[in-house]
Amino acid sequence: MEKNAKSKRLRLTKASFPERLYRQRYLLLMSVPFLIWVLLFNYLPLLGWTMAFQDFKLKGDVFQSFFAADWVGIKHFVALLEDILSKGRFYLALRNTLGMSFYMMVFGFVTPIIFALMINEIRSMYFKRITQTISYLPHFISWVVAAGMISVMLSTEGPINELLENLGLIEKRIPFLAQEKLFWGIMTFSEIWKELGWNAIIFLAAITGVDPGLYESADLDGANRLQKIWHITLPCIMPVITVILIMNVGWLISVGFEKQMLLGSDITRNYSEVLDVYAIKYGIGQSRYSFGTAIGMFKSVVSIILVLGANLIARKTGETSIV
Amino acid sequence: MKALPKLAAAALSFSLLFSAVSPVTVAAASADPITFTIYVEDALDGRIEENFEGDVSRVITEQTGVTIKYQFGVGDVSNQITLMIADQAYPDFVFSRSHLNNFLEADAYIDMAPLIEEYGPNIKKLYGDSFEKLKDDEGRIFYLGQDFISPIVEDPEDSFEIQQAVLKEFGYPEVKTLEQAKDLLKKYIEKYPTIDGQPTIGLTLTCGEGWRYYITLINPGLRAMGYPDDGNFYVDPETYDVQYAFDIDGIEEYYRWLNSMYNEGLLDPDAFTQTHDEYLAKISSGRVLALTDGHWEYVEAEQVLEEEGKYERTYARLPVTYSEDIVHPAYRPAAYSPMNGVGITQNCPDPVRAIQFLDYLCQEETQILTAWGIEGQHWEIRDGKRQYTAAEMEARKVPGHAIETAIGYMTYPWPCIGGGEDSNGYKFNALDDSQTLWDTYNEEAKVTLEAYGVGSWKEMFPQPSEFIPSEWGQAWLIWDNQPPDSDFAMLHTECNDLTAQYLPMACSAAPEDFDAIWAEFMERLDAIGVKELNEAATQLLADNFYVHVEAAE
Repeated sequence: MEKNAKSKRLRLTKASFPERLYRQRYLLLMSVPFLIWVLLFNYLPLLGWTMAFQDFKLKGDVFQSFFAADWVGIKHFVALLEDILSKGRFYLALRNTLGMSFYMMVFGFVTPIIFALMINEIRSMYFKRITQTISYLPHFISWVVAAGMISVMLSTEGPINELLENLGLIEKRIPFLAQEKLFWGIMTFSEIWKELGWNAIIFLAAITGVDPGLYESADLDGANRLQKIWHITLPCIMPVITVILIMNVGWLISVGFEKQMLLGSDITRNYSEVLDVYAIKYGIGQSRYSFGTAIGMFKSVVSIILVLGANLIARKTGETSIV
Repeated sequence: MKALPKLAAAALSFSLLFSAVSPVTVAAASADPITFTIYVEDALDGRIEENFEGDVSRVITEQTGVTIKYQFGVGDVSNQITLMIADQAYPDFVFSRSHLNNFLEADAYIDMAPLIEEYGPNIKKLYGDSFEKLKDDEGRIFYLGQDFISPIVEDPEDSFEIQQAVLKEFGYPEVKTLEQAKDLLKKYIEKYPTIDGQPTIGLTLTCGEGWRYYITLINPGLRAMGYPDDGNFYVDPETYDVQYAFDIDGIEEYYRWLNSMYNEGLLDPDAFTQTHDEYLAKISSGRVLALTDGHWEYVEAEQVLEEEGKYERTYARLPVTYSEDIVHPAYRPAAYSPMNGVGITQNCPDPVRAIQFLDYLCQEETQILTAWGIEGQHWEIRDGKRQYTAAEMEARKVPGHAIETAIGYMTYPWPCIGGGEDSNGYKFNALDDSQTLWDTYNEEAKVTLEAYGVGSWKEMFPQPSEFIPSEWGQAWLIWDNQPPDSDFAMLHTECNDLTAQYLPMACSAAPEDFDAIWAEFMERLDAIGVKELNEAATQLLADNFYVHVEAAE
């Protein structure tokens, strides 16, 4: 019996490629639909990137237009670069995107971890569940509704102004949404309010995976609560934190545009216009599809650089990496 | 975007009125049932009947066999239109304002000129002298112009609006200048700091949502400084030189006034960020004393006030300008500009039938039908005038009645004569009559009008005869019609974006910072090339204008 199994294993490792292919045919077959899906929706659209090197105009259907368009080389990329160098609107949009993302990275990433640690320490099961449910409810509200609520809260007749006024902290009511310098902060705060509970779920799940034996031995050693969090919980969920961090870095440049579009206005434009909004206005809005595509490509390239960078740092510091 | 007021004005003036069914005897081209589909870029959903089943529509179907099925603009129309063009999924007719060029570039329309020669005698008759203006450089006609061919003087859509209650409180004083208006608002707020328990607001604007800042922030400034609506440009009526409005010295005075309003707490601090819904909610609560809006934009809120019987909180429309020597430009007459309209697409299976239908719409009888309704049912000839019947006047008080009659629905964006008289000497437009107009006012508005000794708001404004008419037509249509990726349009957008950003900044700054912000604004306008924009606009005007003048000759 034992010998048999051993030889089988040996054969497996030595099997030739076609043989292995045949052996795993069902597994391979099962993955075919996903392969097609990825090709169809993630790779095929990349062909559209060639539009960035054209002056694309809709004339007839899409394919006719594609073949009829003039090829202009890197004209649109030069335009983007010139804009960055002259600190124009594309530059501002890029800065706002990265700026808001950075805020989100710092505050939006740390808060769910702290929140998960705190929830984990609650003894009353009942209270714990209620708190958790309430905290992730806002996740299910669409941004359109959420933006309405936020704009009412922050208006000069809203509760926040009223509160500040009654506390005597301000003399004149402040139209918060008209303060460009506050915009990134408001965005970050509302994003945290909306997503805190939801983002904490994955950390809570990781925490439940921590071996209880570790806590028991820590108890024996006389560790207090904070020490247990610091020396046991956190190190144990570190791999999860790293993976999530790297993935978040990949989304850094996709800060979303709904909330900026809904809560931003012309008066705060210097701080509220993000890349996606810029691409809509100046790409689709002006029928400059090629220019819009160039912006999209630019975004993707920046994203890839950021992810690879974060991954490299993670690997160098000895933590998990995902690529 | 300026076209929206037009549409609303047209739709409104007719829906305010009702009209009628008459045994119109029209030689229908062919009565086989056929359904034509049309795409209309505006979000008219729910504002007209769904299945072409109103009284007027039924008569049209009886006479021609044609049923019209509408598709309206929804959400972001650029996406909708881009997809339509990419799929070449055009309905039989297309009406587009801002994306007309996309359709033209994609060869979506057929050339109607030869068909009109053969089947369109009434089209030619309706457009009269302006018919030649429909043609492009090569004599082709892709769409029939949409605007009133013979305009009437209606109540001004855009003006300075003050609550009747405020005027009443101070005995209907003369309000001609911005300063007078400001004093009035100030005194009223001091006396009544709250209305119905909520804080009183002097003036509010709607600038939080995209293009709306044109209506309550840009246009009022140009009006108050005496510049007629030629888009964000001023056209010199003698030299035809065009200048970007914010490149004109002195235009900042209006915004300096807004700035003082803001700093004295008379301008709503949320004016630059609130959504349009929040804006309307404030107005319909009755605590906003003044507006600088287009009537079509706040009319919903005013209707709420009327339904609640708060007539004194509805608005009087006044010709307020920066100083007394500035002539309020509401009634600067303009030549007809057919810069957009309904066209027949390549996908229409029966262009002959389509042109016959358009020709039918252009007949005098149909023009009366669509504007007034059916004779006997909706209107009659009484006292030598075409008037609504008593039954119809009564029925109109019921909400939703307009949907049943469908009066006025086929006047936009379809060809429409607008004003003037028919061959029997009766008016084409119901609002072209002082009594009918008077009857549309609420009690409190009537009191205000009587106090000022006039019979309508329009009488308070400088009349058309005081102006040099615009031979170039509606210039804003020229700017709006440029392909969005043309150099002119891109520069224009950039200038407008800068304006949209700096006006709120300047208005909400501390008074002592105003000049510095304005100077920075001017500097940046110059830097992105406002002078080139002026030249390009002058050239565009000349191109379009002379084509049309030659054509008309």
